[in-house]
Amino acid sequence: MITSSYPMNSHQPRILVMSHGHPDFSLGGGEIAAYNLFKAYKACPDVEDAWFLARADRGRGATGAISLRRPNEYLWEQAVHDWHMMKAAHQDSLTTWFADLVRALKPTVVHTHHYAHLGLEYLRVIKQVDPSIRIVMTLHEYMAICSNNGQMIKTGPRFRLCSSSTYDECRQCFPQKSAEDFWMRKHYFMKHFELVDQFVSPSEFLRQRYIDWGLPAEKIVVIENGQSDEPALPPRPLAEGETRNRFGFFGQINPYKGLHVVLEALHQMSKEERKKIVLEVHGANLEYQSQEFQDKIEALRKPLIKQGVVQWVGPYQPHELRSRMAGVDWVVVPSIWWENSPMVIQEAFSCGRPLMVSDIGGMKEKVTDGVDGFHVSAGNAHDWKCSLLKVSNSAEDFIKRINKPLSFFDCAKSHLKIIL
Amino acid sequence: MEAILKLLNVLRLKRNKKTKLPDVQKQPLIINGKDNSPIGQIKVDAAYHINDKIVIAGWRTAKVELFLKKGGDVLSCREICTARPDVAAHFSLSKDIDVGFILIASCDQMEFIELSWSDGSQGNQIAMRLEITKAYSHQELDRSAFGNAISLLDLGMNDEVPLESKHLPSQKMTLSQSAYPNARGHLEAASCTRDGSVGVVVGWLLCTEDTNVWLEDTEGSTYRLDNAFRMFRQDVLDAVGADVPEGNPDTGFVLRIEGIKPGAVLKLMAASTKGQQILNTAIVGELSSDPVDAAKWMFAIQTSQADQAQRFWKVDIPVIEHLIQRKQSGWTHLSDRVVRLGEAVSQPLISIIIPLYGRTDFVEHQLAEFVCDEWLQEHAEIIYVIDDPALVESFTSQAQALYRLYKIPFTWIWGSSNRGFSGANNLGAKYARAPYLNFLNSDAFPQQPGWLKELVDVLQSNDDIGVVAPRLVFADGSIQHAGMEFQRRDELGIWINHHPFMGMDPALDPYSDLTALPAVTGACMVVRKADFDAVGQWDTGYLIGDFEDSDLCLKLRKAGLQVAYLPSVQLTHLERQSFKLIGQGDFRTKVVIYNAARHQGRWAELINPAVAALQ
Repeated sequence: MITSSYPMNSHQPRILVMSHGHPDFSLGGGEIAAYNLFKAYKACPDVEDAWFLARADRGRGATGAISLRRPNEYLWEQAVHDWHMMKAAHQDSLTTWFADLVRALKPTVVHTHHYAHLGLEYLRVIKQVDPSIRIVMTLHEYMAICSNNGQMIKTGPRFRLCSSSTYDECRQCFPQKSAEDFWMRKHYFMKHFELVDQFVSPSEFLRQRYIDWGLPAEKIVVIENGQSDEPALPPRPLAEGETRNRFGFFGQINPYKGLHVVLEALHQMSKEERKKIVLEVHGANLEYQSQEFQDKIEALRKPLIKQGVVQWVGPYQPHELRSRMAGVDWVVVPSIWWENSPMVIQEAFSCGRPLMVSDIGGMKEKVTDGVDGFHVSAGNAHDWKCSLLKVSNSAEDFIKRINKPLSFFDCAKSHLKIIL
Repeated sequence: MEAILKLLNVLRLKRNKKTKLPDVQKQPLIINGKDNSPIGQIKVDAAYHINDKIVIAGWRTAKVELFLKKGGDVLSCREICTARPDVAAHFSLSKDIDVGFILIASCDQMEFIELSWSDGSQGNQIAMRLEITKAYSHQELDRSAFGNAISLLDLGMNDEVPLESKHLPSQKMTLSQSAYPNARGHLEAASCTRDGSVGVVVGWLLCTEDTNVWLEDTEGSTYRLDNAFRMFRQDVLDAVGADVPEGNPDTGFVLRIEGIKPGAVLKLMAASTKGQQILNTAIVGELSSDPVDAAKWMFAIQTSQADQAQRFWKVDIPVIEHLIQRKQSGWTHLSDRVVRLGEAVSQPLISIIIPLYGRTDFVEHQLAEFVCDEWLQEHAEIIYVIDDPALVESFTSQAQALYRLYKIPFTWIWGSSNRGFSGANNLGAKYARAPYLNFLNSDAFPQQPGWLKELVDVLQSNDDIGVVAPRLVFADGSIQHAGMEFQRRDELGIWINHHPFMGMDPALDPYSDLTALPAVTGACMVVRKADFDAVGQWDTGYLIGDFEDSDLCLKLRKAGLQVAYLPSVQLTHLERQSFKLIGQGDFRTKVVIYNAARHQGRWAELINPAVAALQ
C-alpha cells in the first residue's frame, strides 16, 4: 500500500490556523480575528477540515508541549526568548512535537496570524515537513519593521510617531544595539518571510508600510477581519430634549490608545460645554500599566467622574459588546499610534455606530471623514474638544451611511480565493 | 608606680599630638635616627596621580627605606633611584650617590596617601599625608622633578606592564653617574625567556667613538652592542650630555640577546685608553614565552613612531617570530574534535571554511542563505572552525539545533587551541576534501544564490588566476571591499593595506567585470587547494592577526598567479571595525605597525613599485 503525505481523495483545502494566543485566555484583536476565521473555515463547505493551534501560557513556562484544548483546537506552550531576533524559547519542540503535529494533521494550508510568542522558526519547519504546504500570514501590526513592540513609535516618553525603519534610526531608539544588529534582525525576518506564500493585511495602510519595508507588493493582499452577521442596532432612544451626546471608548487602556487625550479635551471645556457631553469608558487592563500612567489617568478622570461627565463602566466580555454599544451614540478611537485595522471600528459599524477617530494610519483609512464618522487630529486635545462639541448635535445622517462590515463567512470566502 | 607610668605615657602622647609635623612637600624634613639625632633630610618635589598610579618624586640624604601607605596599608611600590646633582652639591655629597627617588604605586584613589620611612630600627616611622595632584598625561608632569628618569616612567607606568610584573629586572633601578669620563650608560631593563633562547636589553649609552662598549654576564660571556637598534634620547642628553660632549647622540638602545637566562646579572662595560669601567648592572628578568605578552612588554619600550618599523625589523620581529613558532610547534600535538552533522556531499567541488571567534549567532544567518542555494548544497561542504575555547560548549548544542532547523549538513572542528585567523583556516583546510576552497568570515552573508558558483567558475575558466574575491558591502549597502591596494604611510615608514572606495555607493565602484588587483580580502576568497598547499597555506607568523590575506595573495602572485576581484558577486559583510591605524589603543596601533613591517619585509619587491623597478 502506498501512503502519501497528501489526502488522495480531496482537492479541498485542509487549513491549520495558528495564532499567538487563544481567546479562551487572551482577548487581543489578533487572536480573536484568528479564532473567528478558524471557525468560519471550519463551517465552510469548501474546506475539508480546519484546526486551531494557539500559543498558550499554562503557568509552567515554555515547556514546548502541545496539548488538545477541545476537538480541532490545540495549545502550544511556546515563548519567545529573544524579542529582537524573534527566536523561540523551546527549540526542540519545533522539530519534534510541532513537526509531528503538522505531519499528523496534513494541512495543505497553514494560515498563521502571528509569530510573537512563537518565534519565526516554525515557518521553516512547516516547509521542511512538506514544502507544498502553502503558508498564509496575516500581519497585525509592524513587529517585523519595528523592534519597539511593532508600534512604529519612537522609544522614550514622548511617543513620537515613526514612519520608516533604517538601521541607523532604529539604533537611536535602542542605543544598546548597533546598526548591524538591526541589519541582522531584518535579515532574519526577511529570510523567514521568504517562506510565506501569501501575506494578508487588514488595512491598506499596513500593507504599504510592509511594501516600503521590502515585502513584494504582489505578495500582500488586503482583507478586512470578519464580523458577526447580526443586524445593526437601532439608534439609542433619546429622551425629550436629549442630544446624540454619549460617546463610548472601548478596549485596552494604555498610553498608545489615547484615552488621556479625550479626558484632557473634556478638561479644556467650560463647565457649560462639559454638561452637554457624556463619555463612557469601557476599558480594560489599566491596572497593568505603569504607575505613572495610572496616576495620570486617575488625576484626569476623578473630577470628571464626580461631575458626571465620565462614566467609568469598566471591561466587558465579547458577548457584552453589543449591549454596551447600544447605549452610546458615537464610538471614539483616539489612539496616538498608527493602529492597523482596529477591531472596535468594525464592531462599531456592525452595531450601527458612527466613529470619531484619530486622523492617522488604519483609523484614517477605515473611517471616512464626514461620511461614517469624523477624523480628529491625533493626540490633539483641543481638536478633540471641538469635535466632541460639534458632533453631539447629529448622528442620524452618519448612521445611514454606514456600510455593513464583512461577515466571518465572507471573510473566510475572501481568504479561500487567495489560498486556493 | 604603674599608674605614674601610664600618666607619663598619656602626657607624652598629648605632647606628640601637639607637635606639628613640617610639610615634606614644602620644605625638607629632618630625619632622626635611633637616638633621636638627625641622620639626614627628606623632601618631596612632586606628587601625581596618573593612570591609576601614584607617582612621587623627591630626594633624601639618609639611608632610609621609603614606603607609600594608604589608610595605614603599605602599597606595593616600585622605587627608582636617580641622580640629583643639585641636591648633592647643596649638601656637599658625592655625585655618585643617587639621592633622588621616584616611587610608583598602583592606586585608584589619591586621598589618604602617606609617605613613611624606616632606617631599619623599630618605632621611629612617621607617616605624612601627601597632597597629590591629578595628571592626565605624562606631558603634564614636572619634568625637572623626574630628571632623566622620565623615560623609566614609561616602563613603569605603561598599563601593559603591571607594576608587580615579574618581567621587570628589579624593583630598584639606579641611574648611576660614573666618574669615568669617556662613557655614561645605563641598563633600564633586561628580559629573557625562561630557557634563555631569546631576550631583550634596553638602556642608554653615551660614549666617545674610541670607547669599546659591551655587555657581560657574571660567567664572563660577552654580548656585542653594535647590533643594537639605536635611537635618539633627549632625556639622556639633558641629564648627562654635558659629561661626554663628543658622544653619539643616539644614546638609546634596544638589543636582541640570546643565551642568557632570567636571574643572571648583566654588566654594561666600557673600555678605552683610560681604563675599563662597569657603567651599570642589571638583573635579567623573565620575558613571557607567550608572543602577545612578550609583545606587550616590548612594545612598551618607547621608540619614536618614525623609527618604530626599523626597530621592529631589527629587534622585535626576530624575537616574536621565534616565540610564535615555538608556540605553534605545540599545535601538532593537539587533538582535533571533528563533529559532522548530516550527510555531506560525497565529492564536493568546494569546501567553505569559516572560522568562529567570539560569537556564533552569525552562523544561523549564513545557514539561512546557504539553504536557499541549490548549487551550493549540491557542490559544497561547509566547515566551521571553532577558534575560541569559550564557544565550544555552547556551540555543541547550538549546532545540533541549527542542523535540525536547516537540515544543511555541516562539519565543525575544534582544534583544542585558539590559533588565530590563519591557524584556524589552515586547520579547516586540513579537513577540506574539495579541490577548491572558499575562506569565508562568519559575518559575511551572501545576497543571492549562485554566488559561490560564479566565484568557482572564475578559477575553473582562468588558469592564470590564483585567487578570486567578491565585492563586500556593509549593512548600509556601501562598499566594504572592492579589492585592496598598498598605501605608503611615510610618517610610519610602512605600507598599509588600503581598502579603496570604502563607504561609497557600489555604483561608484570603477570595476564592473573581473579585474586583476594587487590583493583581495580574506573575508571571502576562493582558491585552488593545490595552489594553496603549494604556496604554504596561510602564514601564521603575524601577531594577533592582520595582513594574512594580502600575504596569501602575494604568495600566489609570486608563484605567477593573478589576484582577481569579481564585482558581479556581492556579499554583506558586517565588519564593524574599519581599518584605523591611529586612534586605537597604543598597543593595537603598534601591532598594526609591527605586522605591516613584517609584511613589507617579506614582500618589498611586490609591494613597493620603486623596489620592483630596481629589480
